[in-house]
Amino acid sequence: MGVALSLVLVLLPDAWRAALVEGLRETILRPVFALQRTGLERRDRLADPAALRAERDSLAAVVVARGSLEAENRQLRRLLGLAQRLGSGFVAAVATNVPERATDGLFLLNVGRDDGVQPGMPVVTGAGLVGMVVNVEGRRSVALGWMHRNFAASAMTADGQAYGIVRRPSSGLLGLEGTALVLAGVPRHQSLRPGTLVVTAGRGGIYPRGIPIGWVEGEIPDPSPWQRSYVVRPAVHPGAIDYVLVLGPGRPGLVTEDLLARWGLSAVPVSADTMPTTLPASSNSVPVQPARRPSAQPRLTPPVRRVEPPSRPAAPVEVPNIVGPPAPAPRPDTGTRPDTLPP
Amino acid sequence: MPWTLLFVDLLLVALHVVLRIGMGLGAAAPDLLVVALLLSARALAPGAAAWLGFALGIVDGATLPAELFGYSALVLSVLGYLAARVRPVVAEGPLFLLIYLFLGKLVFDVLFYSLTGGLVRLGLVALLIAAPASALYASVAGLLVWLTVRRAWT
Repeated sequence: MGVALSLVLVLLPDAWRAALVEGLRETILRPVFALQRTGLERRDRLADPAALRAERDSLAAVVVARGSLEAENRQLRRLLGLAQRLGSGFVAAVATNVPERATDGLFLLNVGRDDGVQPGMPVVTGAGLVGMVVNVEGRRSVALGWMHRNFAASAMTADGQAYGIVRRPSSGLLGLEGTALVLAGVPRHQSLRPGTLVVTAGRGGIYPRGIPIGWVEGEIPDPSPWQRSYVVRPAVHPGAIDYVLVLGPGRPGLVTEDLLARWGLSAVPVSADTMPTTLPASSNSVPVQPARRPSAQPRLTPPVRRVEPPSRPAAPVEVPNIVGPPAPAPRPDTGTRPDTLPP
Repeated sequence: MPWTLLFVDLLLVALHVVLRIGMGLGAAAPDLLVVALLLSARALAPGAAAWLGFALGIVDGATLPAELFGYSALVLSVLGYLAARVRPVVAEGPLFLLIYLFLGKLVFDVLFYSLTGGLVRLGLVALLIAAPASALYASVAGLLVWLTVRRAWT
């Protein structure tokens, strides 16, 4: 009889059997299934910390990766914008650290002589000046960044009021090596406000005029009674030197151009007597326009006139060997018009 | 004796569902429903053993997917009937009981898999490995139950 009844159960329609199962589970087996649910919930709760930790780690990895991607994207967009403004006369390159020389401020570029790159060509990013090419091979080259001890460039404030030389701080000076530059040789009577934008002056035939170098942070003592020195926070962070542009290939006259507008900047109109000559202009003519931080770059108007920079020198800076020790520090922007440098 | 059997059966059924369903052990817990049926069949008439198998099969079917409902009842009722039938030829003693429980569980698995298509789905693995292993596990558990109950009785 039990066997026959079992056969009847087997032959019942699926819906009826499902209803029977549901009924049994809701009645005599209800405590068992309640126990099962409790056990599953407890197991889920116990498993939660590990699962949550794993999810958190995965999320952190995604966020970190996304952060670097966003930074890279921002950097590339900025570079792309600069490239569009430049139009021509540059080569895009990827910069990597020179093995075992990363802290020296030298880095490798994946472009070389075959791409038209020559020693002395400026290297920039969308933020500003990085340095210059110092050693060129067929398909690669070595560039010297502003972190290098041999780096120096003639500089001026964006409004053309004050001139000087930007170089790496002397050893031990305020612990600024590798993180800041010093704008030296500014006449004593010219005081710069923190936040003033410093750009290349276009003197010396290496760097075209108007490439952002950094922002004045504050004054530091200068041994000379006739000059002032300022700490300059570089516009290009060393960690952001990944994608760069080498200026010059296919555009021989680039070094004589004023690139201030290419960075979306322009200078305040200044009177003729304040324009760079052998002596910096008087501070009484036009007050120094303090520049803002990189997040809000200054919008200045074009200059009335400017001094035509000299042509590019044949060998402006001694080329350091990649594998050998760095060459002795050359005079910045040497060999050309020393009389135009600030006293 | 019947009341004791009923108590032991209820205890084994409760243990079975608690271990397999409540605690989520699944096949890691021995099949105590078959053990309860086979042990009870040694003291019951074939008809009563078939009814007991039917009842245990209903419980077992309620823990399985709905499309398998009824198959456990069918197989267990047949198994109960057969187990009660072969009682006279099964000798007393732990070893014989172990073999009896092993074969009973093996027959249950083979019949159940055959009826539900599991034998085709799982193939020889189920027949040669899973079913004997499960049968051995259940028979050892049944032997322990039998030894415990007999000691309590004596």
